[in-house]
Amino acid sequence: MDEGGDKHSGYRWEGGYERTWEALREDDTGALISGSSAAKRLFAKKRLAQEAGKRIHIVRHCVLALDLSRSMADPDLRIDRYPNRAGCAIRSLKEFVPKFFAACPLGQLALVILQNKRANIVVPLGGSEARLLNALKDIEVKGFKTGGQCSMVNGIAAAKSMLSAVGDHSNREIIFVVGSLNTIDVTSPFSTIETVANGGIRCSVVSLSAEVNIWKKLTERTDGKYFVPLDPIDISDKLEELTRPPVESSARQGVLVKMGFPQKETDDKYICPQCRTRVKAIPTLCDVCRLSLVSAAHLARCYHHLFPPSTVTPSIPEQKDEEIDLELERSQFDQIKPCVGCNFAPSTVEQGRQFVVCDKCQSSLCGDCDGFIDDHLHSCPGCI
Amino acid sequence: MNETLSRSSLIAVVLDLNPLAWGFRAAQDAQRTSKSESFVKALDATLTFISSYLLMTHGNKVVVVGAHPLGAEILHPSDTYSGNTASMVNRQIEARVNELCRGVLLDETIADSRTSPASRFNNALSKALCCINRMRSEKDLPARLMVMKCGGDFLSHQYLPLINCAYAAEHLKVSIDTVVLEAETDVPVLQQMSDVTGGVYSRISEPAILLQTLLTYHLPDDDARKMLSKVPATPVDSRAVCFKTRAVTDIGYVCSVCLSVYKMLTPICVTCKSVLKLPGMPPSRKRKREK
Repeated sequence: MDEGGDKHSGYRWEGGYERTWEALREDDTGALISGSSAAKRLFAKKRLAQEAGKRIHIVRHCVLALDLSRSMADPDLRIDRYPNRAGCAIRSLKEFVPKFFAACPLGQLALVILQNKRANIVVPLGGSEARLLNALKDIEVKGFKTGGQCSMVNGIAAAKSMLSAVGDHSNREIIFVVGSLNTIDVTSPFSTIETVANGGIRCSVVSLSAEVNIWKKLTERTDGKYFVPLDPIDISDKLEELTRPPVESSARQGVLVKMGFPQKETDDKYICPQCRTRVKAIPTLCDVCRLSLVSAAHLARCYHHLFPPSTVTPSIPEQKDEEIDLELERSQFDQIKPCVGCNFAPSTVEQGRQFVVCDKCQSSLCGDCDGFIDDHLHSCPGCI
Repeated sequence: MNETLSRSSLIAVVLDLNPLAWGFRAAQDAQRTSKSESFVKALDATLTFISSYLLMTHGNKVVVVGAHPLGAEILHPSDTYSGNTASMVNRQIEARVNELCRGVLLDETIADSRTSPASRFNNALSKALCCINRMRSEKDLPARLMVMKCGGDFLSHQYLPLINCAYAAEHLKVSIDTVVLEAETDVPVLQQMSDVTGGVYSRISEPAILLQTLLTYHLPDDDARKMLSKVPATPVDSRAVCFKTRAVTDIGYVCSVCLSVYKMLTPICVTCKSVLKLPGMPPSRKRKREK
């Protein structure tokens, strides 16, 4: 599918050749250096650069709508012990939930099941990771029961009933994971799409079968994303993309949200600072006084969205194919210092190609550390 | 023999090499008791710990990173020597520590009041994690991290990168053990780091029990710890600090745009400068806040 959300890129078969094999390179031992990891890194860098300096939605309220209609029983997607589309969807959602809370600790998730033309709210909006995972596990234990057909309008209605109670400060989203090629509705889906769009709810769809026009319309109208994953692993990748806080399109007024920072007692329990109720795990809402409880660490974890790592430039810049200047490359290679993170010095030019220089502190970083910093550490060891 | 029992592992030790903190502690101890904890003794205990770790299982590996107020240095492995014999590793670390401490003491910028006198643990920890990440990419090893800090300053300037390190470690499935050599106060950020990653936090008030604590609580690996009796847990302080007044707060107001924390309601966020809509509240709560 078209990755960048370009709506007019046309179909895959209309495009020119993509020389994917040229991304492969051989290292000194003859093993192939996969281009995909390099491409992934490049993609991550591009994303970071795009997001830099923009306001993003850190507080998110998001409803997961999972289709469990008959079409999800199709075994065309399967992996390990997950026999069908429904299984693969559950597998990916189980990865999605912790990642979502890692990226937005102040967010809330709900789960809606679309089945038999109805939409059942299985888990209402809340900040508890365990509750969602239990619900997903429950479906797995029951053997991925599917049945009937899927209804988009009912799904949206159920999600809207929960999201309408959420204040304007939060980004309200619905993420559909569907396998159905049709939607059975009582009213016109087009008018529903209009109401959703006017309500400021962003809808994203991961379609496990094929691109379906009505779902695509929904995402286009509501500024969401539309994905058709290629295989079970790809579902997780696409969902991971949805865990990232979206860039704010129009400036909204901020609000102050009241929050409690409970202390952890010696017996692994937390005590709500407002009403002294004991809570098992955070982040969550206090059962008694509905105060959202987080720890300072959860908040600190979000800040990397606001302060992205510094940019880097390759130590050996890419040269045009026609005239590779080996002399120049060699001299550039000789100037590479050992990595500031892991003290690793490149022994061959091929390894040297992976090295980058931090634009801020001019220290040298190896490819491994650079990727690690972008994904997890969020700050260069040379800068801090 | 069982595969899991004989599996070698990796430990990264972050050592505090801050001459000011060690000197201060020695002076404090000398006042309080006749025995004083010198840096040499603590280093001895750490080296014993490292040797014991290397001798636990064949193929165990160790990374030692020294943190000081000017930055952090990887003490082991280095280009000149990267072997794994316990005695050789010890000798190398000792030599490098000597060299480094001398360098730090001679540096005049350390006495400058503008620079923070705390060791740069954020730097040291990110280096240690990068090392673990690299060694893991070559061979998949279970790994842990141990941080030893002298003195009870709160490292509040390093809070953000340290918490980022903790979550990065959690992703790598590396638990962070923390040891604080301090008589009175806990260091909340280190407590939180151990809490996030499932490591053990211990504060050592008596100089004599350092080695004992290291060997009983911190030497066993994650699997062995399940079978041992639990380490006495301390309450973890995870309260936030108000961005305006720097006061510790347990109920605060968080800006929805940039997540700044305020103890009191404020109309404009000091960090992102956005005008904030104040939440409507029932009058009873208002009275409470005014106290």
